Amino acid sequence: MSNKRQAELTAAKEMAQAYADSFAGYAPLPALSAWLGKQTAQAKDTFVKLGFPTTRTEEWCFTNIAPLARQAFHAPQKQAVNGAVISEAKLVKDAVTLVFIDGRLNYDLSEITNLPNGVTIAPLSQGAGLLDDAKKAKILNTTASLEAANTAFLTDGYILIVADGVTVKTPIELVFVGTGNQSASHIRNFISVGKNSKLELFETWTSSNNPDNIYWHNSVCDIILADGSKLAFTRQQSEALQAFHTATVKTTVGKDATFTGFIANLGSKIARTEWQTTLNNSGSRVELYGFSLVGKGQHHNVTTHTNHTAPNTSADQLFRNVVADSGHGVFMGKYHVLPVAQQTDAAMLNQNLLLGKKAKADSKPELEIYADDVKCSHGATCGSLDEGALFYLRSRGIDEMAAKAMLTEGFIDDLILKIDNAQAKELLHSRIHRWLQTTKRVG
Amino acid sequence: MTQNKTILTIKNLHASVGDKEILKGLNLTINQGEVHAIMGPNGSGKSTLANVLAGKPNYTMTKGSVTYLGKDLSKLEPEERAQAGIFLGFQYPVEIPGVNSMYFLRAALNAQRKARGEEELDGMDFMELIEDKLELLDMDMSFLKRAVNVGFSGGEKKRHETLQLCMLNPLLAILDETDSGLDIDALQIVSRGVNAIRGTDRSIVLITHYQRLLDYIEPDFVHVLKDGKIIKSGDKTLALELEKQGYAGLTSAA
Ligand SMILES: Nc1ncnc2c1ncn2[C@@H]1O[C@H](COP(=O)(O)OP(=O)(O)OP(=O)(O)O)[C@@H](O)[C@H]1O
Ligand SMILES: [Mg+2]
Repeated sequence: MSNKRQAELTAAKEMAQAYADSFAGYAPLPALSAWLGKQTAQAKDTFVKLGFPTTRTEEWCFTNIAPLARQAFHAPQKQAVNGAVISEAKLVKDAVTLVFIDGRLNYDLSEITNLPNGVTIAPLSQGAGLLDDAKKAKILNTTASLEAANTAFLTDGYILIVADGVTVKTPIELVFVGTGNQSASHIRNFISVGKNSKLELFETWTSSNNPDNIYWHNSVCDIILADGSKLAFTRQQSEALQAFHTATVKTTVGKDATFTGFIANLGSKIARTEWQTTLNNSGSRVELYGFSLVGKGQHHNVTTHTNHTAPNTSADQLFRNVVADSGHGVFMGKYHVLPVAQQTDAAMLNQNLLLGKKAKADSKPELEIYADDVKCSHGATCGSLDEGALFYLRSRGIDEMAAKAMLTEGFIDDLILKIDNAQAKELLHSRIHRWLQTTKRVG
Repeated sequence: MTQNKTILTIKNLHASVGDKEILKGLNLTINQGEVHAIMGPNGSGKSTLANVLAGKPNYTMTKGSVTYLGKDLSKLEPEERAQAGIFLGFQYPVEIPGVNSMYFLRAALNAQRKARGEEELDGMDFMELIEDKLELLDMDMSFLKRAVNVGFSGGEKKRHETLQLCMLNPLLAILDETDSGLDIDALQIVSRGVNAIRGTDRSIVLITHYQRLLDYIEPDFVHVLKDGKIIKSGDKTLALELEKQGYAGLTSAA
C-alpha cells in the first residue's frame, strides 16, 4: 500500500471517527431506537471501521467527498419552514404529500387527507413495526460506509406499502427540506408495491430559502416490486448549492414488473445517487433515466448497478449531463449479467454536453456478462454545442445566448418525455429553462 | 426606369474559410426590389459568398468591403444581420434535435421583431400568420410539431426554408440552391413562396444550377461565379446561354 493511499484511508477513518464522536450523545427517536436495538452500535462500528468513502475505492474514484467529510455536522434541531417553500418545490401539485424537515416528519405541512385506498404511508418512527425482522436484519446488514452511517445516525424516513391489485390514481410525493445549520439527516425509506399494482412516486429534495444553507441529506431507500407491478419513481434533487446529497436506491423487481427511476439533478455542491437494481425473475424490467445540470463548483454523480439474475430480463438506461463553468458530471453504470440470465436485453447510454472550457465529465459504462445469449449495449458521448446548429439559429435572428440556451434545452427536453406525469414534466421543463436563463452558465 | 435604393454593395471581396482563400475579388451591387441569380460550377464559391454575407463564424473577409444599407456588414453578428433583414436559405439545412419547429419559428420571428422595436406576436397572431403561409406553401401543420429539420426529407427541408423565408419576410433573401432536390410540384410551390415575398422592396439572390427555377422566378440579372469571382453578368438570357454552352467557354472578364 502506498503512503499516499494509506494517508488518505487514515484521514477518511479519522473523519468518520470525528463524525461519530460529534454524534456521541445522539440517540434515534425512541421508537426507532427500540426497533434498531443493537444495530445502532454495530452500524456505528462499521462506519468508523470503513471510514468515509475515498477516491481510492472504485465506486468513488471520480467523486471526492472530503468536502463533506470535513464538515462539522450536527443532529437536526427543530426548525420552522414556510409552506410556500413546499408548494414551490413540489413536482406534483395535487399529490398526497409528506413533508420532512431535516429528516423529521412535519404534519402541518403534509397533505394526506386524499390518501387513496390500499395505500399505507407512515413515518418510519411509527410504521417500522410493519417490517418483519428478517427483512430488517437483511436490510440493515451493510458493508457500505454511508449506509452504515445512515443506520447509525438514523433520523427518520417513511414506509409506503401498496396492497395487491391497486392502481393508485393520485401520485404520492415526499418532500425533504434541509434548513442548513450544518445539520445532517439520515433518512431511511421502505417501499413495497403489491402484485399487479401501480404507483407514481415522487421525491423532492430541497432547502428552505437560504441558498447558502449547508446540510447533508443521506438517504437509503429499499424498494420491492411484487410480480406484475409498476413503479415510476422520480427524484428531484434541487438541494441548496452548498448542501450535500447522497442517496442509494435499492430495488428488487419481481416477475413481469417494471421499475422506472428518474433523477433530475439540479442542486447540491456534491450529489451522488446510486441506483442498485436486481432483476430476479422473467419479465423483470428496469428503466433508469435522468439529467444533471451541473454548474459552477458543483459535482453530480449518478451511479447504476444492475444485476440480472434470471432469464429474460431487460433494462434501459439513458442519462444526459449538461456541465457548465467549473462543474463536474460523473456517470458510472454497470450491467452485471449472471450465467442464468439468458436473453437479457439491456442498453445503456450516457451523453454529456460541456458548456465551458473548465467543465468536466467522466463516464464509465460497463458490462460484466457471464451469459452467452444476451443483447447488451453501452456507450458514452461527450461534446460541446453543435456549431452548425448554433449558426442556423443565429442566422434567424436569435441571439447567441438564447440560441445556446435553446440547443441545451433541446438536449435535455427529450428526456423529460420519459416522465408520464404532465405536471412534473412541465415543472422540470421550467426548472431547466430557469437554470439556463439565470446565470451566464451557457456563455 | 427610376434607380432604386442600393441595398448591398460588395467591392473587391476576398474571403477565406479557415486558411483557404475562396473568394478572390468579388464585386456585386444589389438594389431594392431586384432579383439576382448567381450560377457557377461546383466549388466556385457560391455558398461561401452566402455564408460570408450571413456571418458564419470561421468565414473571414480578408480584403474589400460589404456594405448593407449603408453599414459595414462585417461589423455585425449573424443575429444582427438577420434582425436587419438578411435571410440565408441554406443549401444544407441543419437538423436540430430537441428543438421544436414551431417554438423555433416563433422565437426567431419575435427576436427579429423585438430587435426592430416591434411588438412580439402572441400565440394567436402567430398561428394566424403561420396558417396563412402553410396554406400558400401547401404544407401541413404536422411539420411544425417536429424537431427542426430532424428526419425531414431533402425536399421537406427546402420547403421548411421557404416557410421561414415567408414568415420572416426579409429585405434581402439569399437562397442557396433552394431548388435542389425538389420534385416538379415542390419547385412550383417553393417558387410561389419566393414570388410572394418578391415585391417592390424585397431583394433576392438566387443561387442555382438550373435554368428551370428561373422560369418560375424571373431574374433581373444573372451572374456567373467562377473561382471566387463574378466573371460574367447579364440578363436572364445569360442563363439560357449557359444551359446550352456550359461554363467551359467562359473566361474571366476581370
Ligand atoms: N470549411 C471549409 N474548409 C475548407 N474548404 C472549404 C470549406 N468550405 C468550403 N470549402 C471549399 O471552398 C470552395 C467553395 O465552396 P462552396 O461551397 O462555396 O462552393 P459552391 O460554389 O457553393 O459549390 P456547389 O455548387 O457544389 O454548392 C470549395 O472548394 C470547397 O471545398
Ligand atoms: Mg453551394
